[in-house]
Amino acid sequence: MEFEVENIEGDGRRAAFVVRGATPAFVNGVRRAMLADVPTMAIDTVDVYENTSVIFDEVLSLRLGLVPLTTDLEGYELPEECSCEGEGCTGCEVSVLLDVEAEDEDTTVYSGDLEVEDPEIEPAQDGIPIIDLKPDQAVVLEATARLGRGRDHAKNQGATAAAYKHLYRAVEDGGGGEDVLRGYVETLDGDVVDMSEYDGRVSEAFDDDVGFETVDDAFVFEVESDGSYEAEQMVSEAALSLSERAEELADTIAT
Amino acid sequence: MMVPVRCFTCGKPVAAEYEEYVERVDEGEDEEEVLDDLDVDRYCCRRMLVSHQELVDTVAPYQ
Amino acid sequence: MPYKCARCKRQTDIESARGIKCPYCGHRIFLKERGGGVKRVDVR
Repeated sequence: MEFEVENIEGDGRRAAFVVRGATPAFVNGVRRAMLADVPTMAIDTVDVYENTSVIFDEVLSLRLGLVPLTTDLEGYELPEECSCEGEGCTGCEVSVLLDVEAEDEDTTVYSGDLEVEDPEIEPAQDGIPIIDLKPDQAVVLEATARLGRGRDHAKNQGATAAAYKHLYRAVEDGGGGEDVLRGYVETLDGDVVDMSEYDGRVSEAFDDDVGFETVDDAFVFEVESDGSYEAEQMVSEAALSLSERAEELADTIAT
Repeated sequence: MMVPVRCFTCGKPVAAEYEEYVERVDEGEDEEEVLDDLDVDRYCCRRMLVSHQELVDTVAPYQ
Repeated sequence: MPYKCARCKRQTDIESARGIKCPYCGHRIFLKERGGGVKRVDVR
């Protein structure tokens, strides 16, 4: 299958692009791969040495698990695909330390206080509050982060939004009809404009007699990542995982 | 107790925005404008911040 | 098993506190102390 991808917007965590020449089934495959298949790094087990805070170990661990970590797919394997067969080795897990004591004033522990062994991996945001400590309370723990997939746990869902819709195209002599349009629309010249620049108002962006139709094989994709990847990388990883699985299927059928 | 780290519905990490949100709303800014400004766009994520009640101080004396 | 009296916060052994009663202040509510050692939690 051949298709064209044209970027409209992209600034790290968000991306918007147009895919031309694809089918709805394919585009939906990419969307689902982003949600469920692209592995992300997240804290998976926690060894609590000390926790005198008012929050239970289990709640604290869940909060740690939900913190997005930047993911390095080159350096790490999924535990089930690792050569150690899920035993746990430096090829599939990193250890994360947290050691905070509130001495004589209220302290909030932030995701930035996590110390990850590998400098390639760090919390995607430093400002996520994890627990409040009152004076003399302390938390000391060692956690293990591993790669995991969105289909197994929501903490590993790298895409917080992945959605597509048909591209709208302006046509001459369409006789108006639409007053308000959201999202991206292709103009008569073939450019793609963001309707939010015109507050969605058709009369401001187009001439009066312009009408609109959907383009059957073009899709506008909008992607937002949780910070474990840049949005663009997320899309290419999803496409890669899709093609890997297609190859696997072809191999299985061939044998 | 503590602000949820991620939005329950879509998974966007919202907790990091909570402190700024509370601070700015307390200063009298409009909630809607603050949320827009913090890039918390979807209503699933917005309700996470808007409806949160901080309880750690209430529970603290009970260990 | 270490327990702590909920009122006077003094440590007691539940066995020696005959009939669940604090030997120091007579309070009948106890708090269980956190066990020593490391607790492993799976984030699931």
